[in-house]
Amino acid sequence: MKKVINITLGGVVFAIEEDAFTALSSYIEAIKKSLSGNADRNEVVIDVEIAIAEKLVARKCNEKKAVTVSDVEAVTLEMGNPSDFKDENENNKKQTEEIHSDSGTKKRLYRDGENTVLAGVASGIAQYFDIDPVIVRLVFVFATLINGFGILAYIILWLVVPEAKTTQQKFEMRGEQLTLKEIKEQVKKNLENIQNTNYEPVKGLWAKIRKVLITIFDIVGRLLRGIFGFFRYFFGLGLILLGALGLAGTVSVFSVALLSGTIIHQGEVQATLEIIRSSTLGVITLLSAFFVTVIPLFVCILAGLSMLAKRNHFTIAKSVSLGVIWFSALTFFATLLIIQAEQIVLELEAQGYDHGGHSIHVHSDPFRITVSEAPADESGLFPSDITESQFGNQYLESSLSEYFLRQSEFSWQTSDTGYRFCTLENLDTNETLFPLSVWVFCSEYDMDNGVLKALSGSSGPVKVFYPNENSFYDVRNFSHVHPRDGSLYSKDIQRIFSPEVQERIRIFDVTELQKKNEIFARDNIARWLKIKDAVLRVRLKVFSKHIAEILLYN
Amino acid sequence: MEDVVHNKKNDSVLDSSESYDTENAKSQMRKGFLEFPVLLIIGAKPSYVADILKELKVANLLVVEGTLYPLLSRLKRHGLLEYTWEESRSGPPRKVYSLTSFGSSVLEQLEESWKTLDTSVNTLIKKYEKGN
Repeated sequence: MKKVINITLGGVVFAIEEDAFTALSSYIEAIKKSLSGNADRNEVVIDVEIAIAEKLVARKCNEKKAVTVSDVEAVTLEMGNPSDFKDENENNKKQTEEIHSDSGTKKRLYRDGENTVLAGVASGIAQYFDIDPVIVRLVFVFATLINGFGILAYIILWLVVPEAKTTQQKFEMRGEQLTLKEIKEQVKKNLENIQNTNYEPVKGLWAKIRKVLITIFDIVGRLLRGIFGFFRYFFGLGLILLGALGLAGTVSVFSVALLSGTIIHQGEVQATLEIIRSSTLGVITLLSAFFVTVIPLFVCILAGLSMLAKRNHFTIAKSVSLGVIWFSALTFFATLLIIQAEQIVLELEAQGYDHGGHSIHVHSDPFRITVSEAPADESGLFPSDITESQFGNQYLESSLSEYFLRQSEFSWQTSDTGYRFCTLENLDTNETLFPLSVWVFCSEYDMDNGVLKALSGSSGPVKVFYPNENSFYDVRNFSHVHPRDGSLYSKDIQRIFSPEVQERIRIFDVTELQKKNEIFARDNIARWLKIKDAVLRVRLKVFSKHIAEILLYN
Repeated sequence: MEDVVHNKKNDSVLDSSESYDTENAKSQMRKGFLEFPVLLIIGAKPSYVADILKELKVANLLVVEGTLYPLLSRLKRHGLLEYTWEESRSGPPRKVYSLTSFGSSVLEQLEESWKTLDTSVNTLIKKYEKGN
């Protein structure tokens, strides 16, 4: 049973058996090749096809009989070798070209099915290295006898290396160019083989064993190739993904490192990067590090692509150049790093980083400096136009006021619209150091149509303490003592205050202080209301504009 | 001793005869001047390839069919030949080649030069045969 193909040749339809078709088409292809450079090439090919058709008709092939291999053989013998079609009187320019293009034929490893003891592995290798297959066979036998490696290698090669089946593959195996005579010879050989297999059934024990083995290996080989083909997609896809993600990550990390330098907000890493970036040498180091990481990722992608496309993307030139770039980048990186390492460590130490450990030692406390330099709250409750203070320090007075505003027994809120103020007077004018004796006047006010109204408040002598008289005035650290009300009042005053201060308290006129507090209050409330009003107006303006815009666009 | 030397000589002769492809030389010679007999055949009467092949065979000028097609195409391209299509009862149509007037004049010149060549080669052959 044979497959039959329908073809037209010189305008005549023929049914041609598959193997005969292969032989005939390779014959015509060979003729075409031998005619390359001939000005009449197409015409001659048509002539030849017509001639072949005529001959096949003469053999009654267009009637009920299909064209067989022997028909093709007879016809091609009559027509002549493809090389006979070369016209000697045509110019020979093209021939040299042909040789050039043919010299690119690559030699590939195949199993030689025509020259076998078992599966043609040895003869295939022998073809590949242009040596006698007997030598290869001996090596296999020898390697098997020594440690069994030979048989293992043979089995693996049997499974992995495909058999040269088509004419093209057979020529690739031999590393020969597809010359015309050789094609013809190959076709003849194929025919002989077909006949041999037809007429000479397998004989002998070895032949039987061989046949069974070949069948088994054929199945196993197909299975393995199938499994590999299945996993190839996953593996290839994985490699591409790995490479692409890695590439994207590396590119972003390096671009950030080079441009802004804030990869991790960790002092040491940050500082190291800063030092590296600050010098040209450092930038080159970073660039070479970039190449060192990027090239393997690129290779990953190429390998993945090769697996997916079943095509080797690694040309020798590409591989070599990638290898050279990678290796030189690595050398560059290592050398530069060693050169710079010492300097980096020195600079890190100078900046206060201890390169030995991961902990960061900050040698000076920045907080103290910042806070000490920052002025106390100037805005809001206290007018800034007080330059001289009865405490000798404007900030001390502000802090004290702030402190008493926070003490609920001195100042408290009774109305949502109320504003609270505290004013102080130093009772001991000679003393500006803690503990201080002061008279405190605190009150809550409300502004009603421009008239200031007192809502709540208190007034009285107090002694104020601060843990460190030289330090600055943290409101949280103040403490105070004040005389209790009622019958205990005068007794407490005597206990708390010095005699001079007691005298002052006795004659103290609170109206002065009250006035002062009211003036403060009026000024500040007015100011505050103005600000509030201004803010409100701005808000209104923005809001109305916004509304107008919305209306406009709708 | 003499025998050995003699053998060696023989060997070297054998070697050179192997590297020189006599068959190839003969076929080249035939191919080289094939134009002339082909023109002669077509000049006698318009013919198609099978006719030409038959005539060549009769004249003992054995060539394979394949050699003829490029040759005929070239002669046609250079204006020595022209062809007409002729229907065939058994197969595809055939090309029937005939000489153009330019072809006839070329053929005349070739005939002339062949005749002179023939006499000169023949005298050389006669001399050579006499010498042996």
